[in-house]
Amino acid sequence: MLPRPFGEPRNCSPSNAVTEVSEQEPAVRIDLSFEPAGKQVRVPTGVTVFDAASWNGIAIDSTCGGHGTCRKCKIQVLDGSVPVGRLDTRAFEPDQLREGWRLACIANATESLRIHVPPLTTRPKASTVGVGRQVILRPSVVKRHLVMSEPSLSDQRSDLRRVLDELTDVTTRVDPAVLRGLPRTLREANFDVTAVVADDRLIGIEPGDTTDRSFGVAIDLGTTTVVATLMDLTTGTPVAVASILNKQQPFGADVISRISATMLDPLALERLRDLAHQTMDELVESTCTEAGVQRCEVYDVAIAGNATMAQIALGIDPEPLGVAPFIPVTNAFPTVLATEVGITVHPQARAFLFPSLGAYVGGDIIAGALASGMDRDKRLRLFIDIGTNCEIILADGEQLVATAAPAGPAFEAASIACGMRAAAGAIEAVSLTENDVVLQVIEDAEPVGICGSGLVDAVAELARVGLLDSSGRYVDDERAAEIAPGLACRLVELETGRAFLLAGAPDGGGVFLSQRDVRELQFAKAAISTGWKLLLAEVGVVEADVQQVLLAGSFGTYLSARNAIRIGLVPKIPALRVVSAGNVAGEGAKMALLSGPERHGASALIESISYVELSDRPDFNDLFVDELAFPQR
Amino acid sequence: MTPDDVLKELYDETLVGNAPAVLDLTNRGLELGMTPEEILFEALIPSLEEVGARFERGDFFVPEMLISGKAMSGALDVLRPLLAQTGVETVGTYVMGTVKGDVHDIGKNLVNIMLEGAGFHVIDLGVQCPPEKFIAAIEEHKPDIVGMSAFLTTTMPMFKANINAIEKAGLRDGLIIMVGGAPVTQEYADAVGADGYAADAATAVRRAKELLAVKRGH
Repeated sequence: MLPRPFGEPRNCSPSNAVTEVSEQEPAVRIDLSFEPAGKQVRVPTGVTVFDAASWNGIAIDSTCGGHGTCRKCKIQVLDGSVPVGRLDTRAFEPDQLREGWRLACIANATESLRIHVPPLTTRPKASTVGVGRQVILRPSVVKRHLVMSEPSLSDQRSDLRRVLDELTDVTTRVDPAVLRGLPRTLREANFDVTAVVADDRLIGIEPGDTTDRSFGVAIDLGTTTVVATLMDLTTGTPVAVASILNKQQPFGADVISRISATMLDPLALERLRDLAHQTMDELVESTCTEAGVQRCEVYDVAIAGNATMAQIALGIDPEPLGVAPFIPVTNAFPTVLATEVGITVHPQARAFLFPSLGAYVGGDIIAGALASGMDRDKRLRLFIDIGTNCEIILADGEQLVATAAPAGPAFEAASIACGMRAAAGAIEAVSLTENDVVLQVIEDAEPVGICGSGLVDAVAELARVGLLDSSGRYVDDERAAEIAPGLACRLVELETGRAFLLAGAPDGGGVFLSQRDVRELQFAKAAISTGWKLLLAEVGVVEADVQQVLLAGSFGTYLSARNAIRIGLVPKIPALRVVSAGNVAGEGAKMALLSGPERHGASALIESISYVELSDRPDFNDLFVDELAFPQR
Repeated sequence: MTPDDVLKELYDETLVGNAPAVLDLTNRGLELGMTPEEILFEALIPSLEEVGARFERGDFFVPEMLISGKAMSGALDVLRPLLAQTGVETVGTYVMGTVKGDVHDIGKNLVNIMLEGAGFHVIDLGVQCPPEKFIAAIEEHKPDIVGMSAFLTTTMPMFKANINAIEKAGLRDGLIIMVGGAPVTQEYADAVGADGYAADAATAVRRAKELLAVKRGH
């Protein structure tokens, strides 16, 4: 059984210990049914009712983050029993306790229960993020409005003690910076203030009641593109999104070129680090401006980036990531101040960086796996993030295995004669009829090039009609005229070799697919299919067993499932089971902002995924060569 | 099936990379009493030379070379021990390895097969070879040529480190050093002090023969 986070570790709660026991004895499971939602869940004994509900997408009100203090998470146990806790006696009258009312966050379920969940009295607390994942709001940052009595000769408690006495449940540590402004803030606000607590740390005191203003930034720190989403932590909704190209681009398109830049020039690391910081800070600025949010109202940052991006952002020498045996400096990064990664928000805001499994299965993939619930599904699922480096995870509810496959730049169309990024004028979809080529062009512009999804379509269609044989070779003119007379005239001999004309004229401005382009695609798809085939073998299952394929990343969004299957890029399963998952790295970062338990889940994930090194396998090269061909129909 | 049929089919099947057929035909040829040399020099090598020629014409691409190479290598596994027994003359001895810090070997293996097909005695050191491994192999095998492969810009600097170490060990004189790999260029090869560079497997074989001829001609 996989270790699974049912809640963040708490000092006083027994749930920790009980969860450990249940992991040793996975057989001890109980059923919880929730009214009026009518949902039933099966969980290990010892889990709190709150965690079990939240984990299954049932919203229970809460503002304290499950510490038993806000007293909002009231539920009624209809069948079964839960012992009365110390905090329950403060929250309920004896009559209510007898009727089964408890605080869900401290109610450990040790037997099957039927539970009534009162309707939410406040705003919705669940947010749909990731691949249909419902995340219950339990952000690491909690705001608490405090109205305190003023000091007097008979009450000479220090300013800090006065604040902490109101926060006994949530904080144990105090940022020194808080003390600096504390005396003035308290007095100017007449001891009516809002405390900002991040995890177990008091990070700020603000005058008045600011509990409805709390924001975080989720950043997908990609090698090519960086996306930031400003999240309202009180509602769980995104309020602004922005994306720009990573300013490190001039140093090369992929992580290897960025790493080699640092090896050649001792000053390059600092420069790359600053560029990463500038990229992120610019995005934070534009999202805050768009949403009318002050930067000091942003208290939390979650960053999902590959291992190289994360190390460079922290100013750590990435060289060992670029040479075998490819060793990251650490798997889990310590939480740093946002200012240490160049992000100007609340000065005491922390930045959480997703942990990496290895040099080539980085935090972006862990975030993606979190967002797509790879550890929470009994189905046999394959997660594929297509890019220059392709990361693959296979999970079956029992085990998770991952690998990285070097696909090269074909899917980004960089090595393709008429290749271009998915921008206006790019052919993004292709289908062939008897006599014609039907194109879908981004923004309905005149076609000027072809992007990755169009490339896959074109090759799959050409193979379908037979103009490409299964080895990936264009057939000769005679054969072409025989099998596709209406299309044969588009097969032309250019200076660079044989090509299929997709649009325009061959002698100028035409968009074509050359024989070399087809070969480039074959290389990329063979690297990927070799990767997942070896993972399937590792787990002892076959292609047809796969119940779902999740295509992550922007490329996956536009890819035709049918054609991906046709060229053998993904397993041969019904096309409906091949699902575009979108920007799952960004979704994972959002989840980490909205929920502390989910954030801990990311760390648990790296413990439960085992990495399979492809270059170690003696059969890799042989299998790779076999995978170059297109599957026979 | 006559020996001539076997040779013709071997040539054709190697060209299209039909590995099972190539292996089967090789065994069939041996059963018919053909010599390993005959099979190698009259079918496999000409076929692989045609693969190389088609590649240079832009008619074949790396996937096809890999597929043909894989078919050829299955036959070579059968023929190699037999050739060793008969003491067939080799064109030259070639020590080949992927540099330290790099695990890529598809391209290197392809060059090896092409070299072997061209009659070289190839000693493959595998991947992640530190300078000491190259030096030990040079001392042991006294090769004509040492080839180094690197696939990453992060591992290319090992060429220079290897060449320096070979010089320091006093083994550089009379030794031909060739470098290659996806990111490597002629300029880079010149800068690190290599004697030869080739952008692809077919050219690598041609370049190796040229360099060897120059060396022996003097």
